[in-house]
Amino acid sequence: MMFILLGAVLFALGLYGAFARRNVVLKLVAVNIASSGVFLVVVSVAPPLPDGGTDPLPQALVLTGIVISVAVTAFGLALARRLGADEGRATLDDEEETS
Amino acid sequence: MSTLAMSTLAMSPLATTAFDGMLAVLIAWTAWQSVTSREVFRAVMLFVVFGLLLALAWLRLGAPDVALAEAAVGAGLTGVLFLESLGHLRRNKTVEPPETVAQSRLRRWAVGLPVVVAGGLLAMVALRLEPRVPGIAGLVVRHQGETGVSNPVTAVLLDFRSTDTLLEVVVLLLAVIATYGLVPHGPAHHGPRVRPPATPRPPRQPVLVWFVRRLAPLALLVGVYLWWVGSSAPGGAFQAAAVVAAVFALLRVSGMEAAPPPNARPMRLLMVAGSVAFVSQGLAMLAAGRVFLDLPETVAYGLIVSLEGVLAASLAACLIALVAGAPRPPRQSGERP
Repeated sequence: MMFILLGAVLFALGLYGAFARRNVVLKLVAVNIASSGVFLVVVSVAPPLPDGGTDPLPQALVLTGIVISVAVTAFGLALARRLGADEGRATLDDEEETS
Repeated sequence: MSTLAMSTLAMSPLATTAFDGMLAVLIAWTAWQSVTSREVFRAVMLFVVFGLLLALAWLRLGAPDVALAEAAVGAGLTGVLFLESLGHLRRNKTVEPPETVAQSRLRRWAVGLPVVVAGGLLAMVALRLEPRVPGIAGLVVRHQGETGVSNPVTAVLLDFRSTDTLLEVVVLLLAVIATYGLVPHGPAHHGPRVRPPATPRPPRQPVLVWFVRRLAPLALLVGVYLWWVGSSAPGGAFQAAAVVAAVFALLRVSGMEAAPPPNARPMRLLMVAGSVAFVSQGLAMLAAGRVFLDLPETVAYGLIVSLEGVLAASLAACLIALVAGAPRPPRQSGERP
């Protein structure tokens, strides 16, 4: 129960960061936090097994999800790097303020 | 697995609840601090702490496989990836530009309010879900004997739902290819220069080097162990790959380049090997008159363990390539368009 709530809180926090932060690397950190929240919810909503263990199916899904997150993060960072190399900026704003 | 969940210290329910509560508050606090930070370095450091605390939460949820992956991949490798990208950002780009009071107030309400609603809805739906006993978990438990492995998570990953895992391996490979494809190349590239060669070459610190030299072989051994033990206990190809990749990341940041450059031929072959082995296993099953990736009971154990071995090496290569980052564009190369 507690971890379902924590998952929802993390999801909201991550979502906030993804929209409110302007630096793309900060956005990516926030997206990672949001997906951790989703993972927590996915595993904690599954009812426990008869022997008290944790349902292996959501665990396997989350393991896959964690690896996909790394792949997405790495790709996002590569995009950010290219943005920096081509335009010399680290935000997605239409017009960069003088820095 | 369940024995492991059972063998956690016997604590009174009150103590357990208090511990979980404290853990949850700490995790939420680090996440909050990380998300509201305007400084990339600070946000990344907090994110790493967040990942480690989250790994504890996974243990409390009885999911040691996920805890291992979270600690090694979520906190470790992702943190290194973020730090690595800091080196690529120009110094004045690692802090968000200041904004006016009106802007920040607008942002707080325009973003904050919908986000709180979204989080609240998620919590409400998740708490009201009617658990369907016995669910799919029952099927896993019932058919686990057919896979030859006794870790149910490995059984799901490598047998029951191996299509997911196959695609995951492919996604990681695609990420490497896409990352390398984004490297600006040659003279066609113009624009402000980013800080030159990003390979971090910190001054050699004797204590760090001494420590890492001794830690690296042990950590590699842990990686191999995780692969081998994955069939019967928490562990497996992904955790093993993450630990091995973390060793190379550690060597790299302490100034010892141990891995061959990611675009060397052996590395490229290794990166593709995982997907190739997985697909050919599936095709072999088709040729044997079975369904794609459907393993026969008699040889399932051997197939799973050997495929996991190939996957561990291949995934480690992919992760190392991602951490090492794309090669620098040649500076002032003589290429003519």
